[in-house]
Amino acid sequence: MLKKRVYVADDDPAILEIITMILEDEGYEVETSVDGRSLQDELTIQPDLVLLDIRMSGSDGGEICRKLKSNVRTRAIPIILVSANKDIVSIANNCFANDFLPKPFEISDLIQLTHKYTS
Amino acid sequence: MEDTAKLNNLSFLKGGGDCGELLRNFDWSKSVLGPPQLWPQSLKTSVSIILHSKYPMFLWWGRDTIINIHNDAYVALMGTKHPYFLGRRADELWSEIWEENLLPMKNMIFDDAESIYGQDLMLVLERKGFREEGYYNFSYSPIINEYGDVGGLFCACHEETKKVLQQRRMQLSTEINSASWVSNSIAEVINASYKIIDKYYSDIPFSALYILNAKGVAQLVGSTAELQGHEPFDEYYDFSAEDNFWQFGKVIKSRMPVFIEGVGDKITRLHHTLLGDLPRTAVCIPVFKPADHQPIGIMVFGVSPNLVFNDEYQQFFQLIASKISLIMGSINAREQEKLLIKASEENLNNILFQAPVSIAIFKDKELRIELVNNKSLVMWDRTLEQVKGKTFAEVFPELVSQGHKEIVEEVYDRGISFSANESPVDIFRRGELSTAYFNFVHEPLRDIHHQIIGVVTVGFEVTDQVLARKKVEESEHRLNMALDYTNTASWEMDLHTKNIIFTNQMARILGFEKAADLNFYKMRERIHPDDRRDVVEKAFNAAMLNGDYNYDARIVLPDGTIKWIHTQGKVLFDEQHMPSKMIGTVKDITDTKNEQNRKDEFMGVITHELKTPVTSVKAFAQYLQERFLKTGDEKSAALLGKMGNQINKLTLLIQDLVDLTMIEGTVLKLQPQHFDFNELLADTVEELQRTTTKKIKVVSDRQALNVNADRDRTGQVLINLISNAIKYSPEADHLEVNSFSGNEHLICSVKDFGIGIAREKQKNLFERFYRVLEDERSNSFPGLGLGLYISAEIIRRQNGAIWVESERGEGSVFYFSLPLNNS
Repeated sequence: MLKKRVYVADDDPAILEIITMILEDEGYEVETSVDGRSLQDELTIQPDLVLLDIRMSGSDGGEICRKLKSNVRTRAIPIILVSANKDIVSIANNCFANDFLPKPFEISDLIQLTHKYTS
Repeated sequence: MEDTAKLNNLSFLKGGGDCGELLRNFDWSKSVLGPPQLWPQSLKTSVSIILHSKYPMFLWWGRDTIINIHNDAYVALMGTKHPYFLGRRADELWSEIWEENLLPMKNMIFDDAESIYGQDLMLVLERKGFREEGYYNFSYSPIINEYGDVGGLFCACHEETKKVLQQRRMQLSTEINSASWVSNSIAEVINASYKIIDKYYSDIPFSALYILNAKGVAQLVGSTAELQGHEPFDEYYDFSAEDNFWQFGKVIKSRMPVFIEGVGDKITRLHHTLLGDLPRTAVCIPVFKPADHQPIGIMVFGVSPNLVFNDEYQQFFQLIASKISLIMGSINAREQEKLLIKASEENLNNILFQAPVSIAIFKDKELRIELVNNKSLVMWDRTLEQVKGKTFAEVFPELVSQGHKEIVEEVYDRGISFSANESPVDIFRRGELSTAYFNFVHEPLRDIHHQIIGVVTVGFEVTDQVLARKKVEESEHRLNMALDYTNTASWEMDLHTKNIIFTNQMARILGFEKAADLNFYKMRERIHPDDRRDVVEKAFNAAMLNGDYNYDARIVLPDGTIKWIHTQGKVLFDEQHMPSKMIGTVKDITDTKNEQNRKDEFMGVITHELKTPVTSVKAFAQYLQERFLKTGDEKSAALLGKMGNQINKLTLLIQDLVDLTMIEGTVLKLQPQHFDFNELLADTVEELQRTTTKKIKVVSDRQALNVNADRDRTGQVLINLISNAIKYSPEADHLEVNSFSGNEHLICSVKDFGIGIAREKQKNLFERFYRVLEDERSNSFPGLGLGLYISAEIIRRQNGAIWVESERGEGSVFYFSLPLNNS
């Protein structure tokens, strides 16, 4: 069975590291990015789930999410915004994200959401 | 007789009236002319012309012995000399004036054959038995006889006595009239009149005037100069005396003229007479008061002995008497008038002196103060002695350099009045020079000939009003500056007409070029479409109910720029308690809003940045804990669990800071929703029960308490209050939470049995950063002191209230209320 691929974008390498450790323990294949820009290019291999920070240096997770959701080829990919932004709820609504996870999060919540959108 | 005349060839004497007949019957045998039949033809013709003329004529014939022949028309001039001198010698006829007047004239005509014309020549003829003053026009011309010599003299003449006397008397009357105008008193007019009468002694040889005084005594008030030193008239006339020569009693009684004869006995001598004859007659004429025709005196006139005392003469005396009475009457009236004027002047003076305005009269070129009223003296702070008769420069030395003297002088010189309103004047009063303000007018003062004789100044002080107004203007100016500085406009709106007035900042704030372009509807159009109904109309409707108008809204300028305004106002209600007006301010808060947004953004960044490391720390700790659990190292796992709790506390503290910032910036966004408060209470208690060993007892109605509020924020309040109750009651084993429904509100209470709060500290409890425990124990109760402040703000912003009841050492009860929504 092929591993599910989770694409994680966050400008904090420590976050990328811990999420990678957690999700790999759960049996996912994790790809990381500090700005999410590679998501905007033509994707060769589509991820099964995108975990997206909102505020990243040099790019806006909300904007990336909106673009992916307005592209016919990518709009089926589930996207979860993971952010410390206080307006995370409204931003998630506005950019058509599938769900959101406020920082700081409980590991159990992260795992539960990931399972939810990849099963 | 006619036959005889014809017979005797005396047809030239035919006709000719009485004179013709007299001549025909004349005994010419003894005359130098000889019988008429033998007269030269030139004489016959001349006599015929004279006799047939109705005009007074005569002729003299003969060079040496001159015979007079006159016609009937001439008889009147001859008087008693006709008929005797008809056909007799002319030099005998006019013996009284022959040598002096007539002989030279006769010689001119006979010797030089010249004609002579004489106008209004006075001749004194005794034709009426006395020497009569008469006036004549004469035309003398030579009669040339058959030999070419001057055979005689022809004279046509006409008496002009009546005309001359009329003119003379008219002249007298006119002069007396004019005398009255230069006289100011009765004494003066009488004196002046008699000076004139003196010159007319031919008509009035003497005269005296008596006036009846208040006691009915006739007093001599004037007479012709002729009588002075002669005294035929007593100063007082004694009506009761036996010697009543002048018969004044009769005059007064009859109110008619009385003629006195035998005056020559009384008047024995006169300086000026026409011919030296003394008057024999006088007439006493009553003088009447013109108004009511009551006798006020008697005027005595001597009658000229050389004039016929006819009706005209008598009327002349009457005229003079009534003229004098008229003049006296008019003088009286003028004196009365003067008295009235004097009285009215006094009145005027009184008015001037009591006038509530300052009135001053500056006389002449030097501007000497002739009159001032009390108001002036008070206004100037000068005494009457300091100003009366003093010049402008002496009274107001401080005003000279301020140009005020020049102004008054110009009014005097040019005759043009000058007025000023609120004119500032530095005037010396009460020991100091200070600026005062006056309204005044300087008017040129003119005499009856329209000559400028001074300046009248009327004024009043308006210093208080001007200063008060200046103060108002200044404060308006300051307010305006403050409005400008704070980008605020103030406005006032009539709620019925929607007419709105505003300060000039309004146009600038709303992006209009001119204030005139603005009205209520154009203002409304500026509001951002999203805010028009949701914000402005809502605020307006709320204002109609509770009187307060308050909103922040966006406006869109024509160029698309978005600005923020803050409107704050109050509704004014009329007598029927209906909203009638609204007043308030509009403030441009774009900068504040931008600032706020930057601050929000900044706080967002801060919290984001704080939360980011916390996130990874927390995740690492949990991940590590899981790993230790998997390897069976439970002790390490427990330690990492404690670390996780501390991280959670840190997270809460960060959340508090965010909330505080949002409250301070008034941008705490509440998202109301309908929910059952009791349900929220149950959920919250269940969650918190897991964190404590103390029993949380809940007492609440079974029914739902429906509210329209922010569920999360309200939950935050419950968490805060219950957490505090747990934290501050270390010894207690339980706490109580109640909720129940009031009329329009629900009330929730959280009761602990802990340390309690001193009364004096309770009032500050809901202030930010306030911590009840300032002593050594405070360290055992950690926290930023923000919880109650944030809770209070959340409750207040949802139209609820929050309060506490507590005694130190006996625990506390915290209450809050929220409006119920049962619709």
